[in-house]
Amino acid sequence: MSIEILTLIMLGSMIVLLIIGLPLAFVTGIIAFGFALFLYGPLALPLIASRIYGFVSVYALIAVPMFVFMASVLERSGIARDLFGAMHVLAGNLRGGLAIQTMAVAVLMAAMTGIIGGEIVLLGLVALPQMLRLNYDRNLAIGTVCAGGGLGTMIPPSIVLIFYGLTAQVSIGDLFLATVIPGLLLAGIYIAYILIRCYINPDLGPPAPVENRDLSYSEKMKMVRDILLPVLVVVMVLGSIYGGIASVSEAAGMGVIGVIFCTWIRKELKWQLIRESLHQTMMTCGVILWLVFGATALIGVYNLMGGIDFVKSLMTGLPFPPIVILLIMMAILLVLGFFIDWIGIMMLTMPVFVPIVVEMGYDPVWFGILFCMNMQISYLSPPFGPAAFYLKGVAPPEITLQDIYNSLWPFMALQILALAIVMMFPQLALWLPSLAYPN
Amino acid sequence: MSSLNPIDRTSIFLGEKISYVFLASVIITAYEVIMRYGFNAPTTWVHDGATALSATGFLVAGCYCLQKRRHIAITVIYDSVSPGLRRTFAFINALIIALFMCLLTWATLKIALNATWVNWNCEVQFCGLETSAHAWDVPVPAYLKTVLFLASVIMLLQALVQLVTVVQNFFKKTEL
Repeated sequence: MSIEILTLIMLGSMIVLLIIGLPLAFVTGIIAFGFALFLYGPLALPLIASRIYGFVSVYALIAVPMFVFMASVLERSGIARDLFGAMHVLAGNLRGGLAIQTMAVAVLMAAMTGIIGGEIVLLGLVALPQMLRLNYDRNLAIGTVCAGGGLGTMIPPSIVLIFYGLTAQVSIGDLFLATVIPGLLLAGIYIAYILIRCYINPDLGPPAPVENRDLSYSEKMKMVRDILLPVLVVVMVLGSIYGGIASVSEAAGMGVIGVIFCTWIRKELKWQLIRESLHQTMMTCGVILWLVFGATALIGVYNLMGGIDFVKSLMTGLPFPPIVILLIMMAILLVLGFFIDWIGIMMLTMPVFVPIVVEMGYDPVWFGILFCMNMQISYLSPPFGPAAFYLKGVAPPEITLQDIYNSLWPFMALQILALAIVMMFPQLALWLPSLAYPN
Repeated sequence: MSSLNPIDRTSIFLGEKISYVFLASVIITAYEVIMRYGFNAPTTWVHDGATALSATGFLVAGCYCLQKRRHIAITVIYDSVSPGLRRTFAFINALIIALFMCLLTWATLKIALNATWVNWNCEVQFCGLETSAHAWDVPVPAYLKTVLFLASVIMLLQALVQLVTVVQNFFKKTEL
C-alpha cells in the first residue's frame, strides 16, 4: 500500500476514534500498535513500547514533575493572593489599572511556574471578582485573566519548552533565554491593548476609589515583604539556570524547596498541602506521559513507514519560498490547536516539522518560540481552549463558557499579532541566546 | 460507580503513595546542589537516582489517571449523542483501551524479561541485570523496565474492570 493511502487511513481512523470520545493517548497508541502489527509483525511492539522507557529515563524530564509540584504548592498557598495585593501600587489612578495589575501579577507568577491552569484559577479567584466589583467591562476582565494566565508557558520556566527541547534536541537553556523577549512582548501588547481600550472608553476600566490608594507605611512594608519572597524564588530558579550554576532540573528542585520555604515562613506549610500537591503532580504527569507515549509511538511507526520523508518531500516540494511553508506550518498548528492540546500537537507534528525547518535554514530555537506562541492561541481557542475551562471552574456562575469564549477573540488577535512580529523579527527570540553564547 | 473494587483501590493507593517519589527526587536533587557548592563534594548517584524516582512516578501515574478517568479526550460529541449511542461509544472505547493494554502488557513483558531474566547469571555482578553503565552503575534499567511491566499489568486490570462496568451498563441501560 502506498504511503499516501496509509496516511489517509491513519488520519481517518484518528478522527473517528477521537469523535467517539476515546482518550487521545489511546487513540494514538492503538493506531501505532495496529499499524506496527499489520506492517511489521508482533516483534515491532516491544520496540515501540521501549520508547516509554527511553522517554522516562531522561534526566531533563524530572524538571517537569518538579515545576508542576511547585505550581501546585503555589496554588494552594496564599502567595498569589498577597502578590496581587502588593501589586496594588501599580494600579493607582490609572485607567484600567486593575487589569494591568492583573497582567503584572500574571507575568510574575509565570516566572515561577511553567504550566497554565493553576495561574488562571488563581487570577480567576483573586483578580476577576475585584475587577467586576469595580465595574470593569466583563469581556476585558475575563480576557485579561485568561490571556495573562496563559503566559505561564511563555515566560520561563516553561513545560512546553522543556518538551520542545527534548523533542527537537535543542538546549532547554537556550529556549528559556529565547522566550524572554517574546513573552514580555506578548504581555506588553496585552497591556497596551488594555490601556488603549480604557483610554478611548474610560467606562471599561474605572480607577480604584481614592480611599483604597492611600496606604500607611506599615501596610506598604507588609506589601514589600509579600513581594520579596516570591521574587527571590524567581531569581533563584532563573538565575541559577542562566548563570550556569545548575541544570534546569536542579533549578526546578531548588525552586520547589524555595516555594515550600515561602509557605513555611508564611505559616501555611501543612502536610496536607504537600500531599495534595503531590497527588496533583501525579495526575498531571500521568496525563502527560501517556499522551507523549501514544504520540511518539504513532509518529515512530509513521516514520518507519516513510511517512516523515513523505511529508517532508510534500512540503519542500511545494513551489513556495520557505517563509510560506513556515506560514503553512503555523496555520496547521493553529488549526490543530482548536482540537487537541499542546503536548499532543507537539509530539505529533514537531518530529515532522523540525527537520524541515532546519533544512530550510531556520533556527530550531526560534521555531520553538513560534510553536510556544502558537500554543498560547490554542489555550484560548474554542471549543476546547483549556483556559476557558479553568476559568469557568472558578468564575461567578452567571458567566457562561460562551461568555468566556466571546471575550477571548481580541486577545487571540493580539497573540497572532505577536506571533507575526516574532516571525518577522527572529532576533527578538535569538538575541538573548546569542549574547549568552557569543560564538 | 458507587463502591470501589479492589483494582480501583489498588490504583488509587499506588498513585497516592508513589507520588512521594517526586518529593524524594526534589530532596536528593537539593542535596546534590548543596553537596556540590557547599562541600565541593558532588555525588555520583543523585542524577540517576532522581531520574529513577521520578520515572517510577511517571510510570505508575498512568493507572491513577485511568482510574480517575482523567486521560484527555474530546467529549463534545460523546456528550451530545443519545444515551444508547453513548453506551455503545463507551463500550467501544473501553474495548479499545483493554485491547491496547493487552498488547502493551505483552510488549513490556518482553522488555522486562530482556532486562532481567534473559541474562540471569549469578556469577556476575547484579546477576546480569541490565545496568545503567553510568558513573553510578546499578541495575536502574532492569528496575524501571520491571516497573513498566507491573504498571502495565495494573493498567490492564483497570481497563478490564472498566470494560466489565461498561458492559453491565450496556445491558442495564444505565444513564451514563
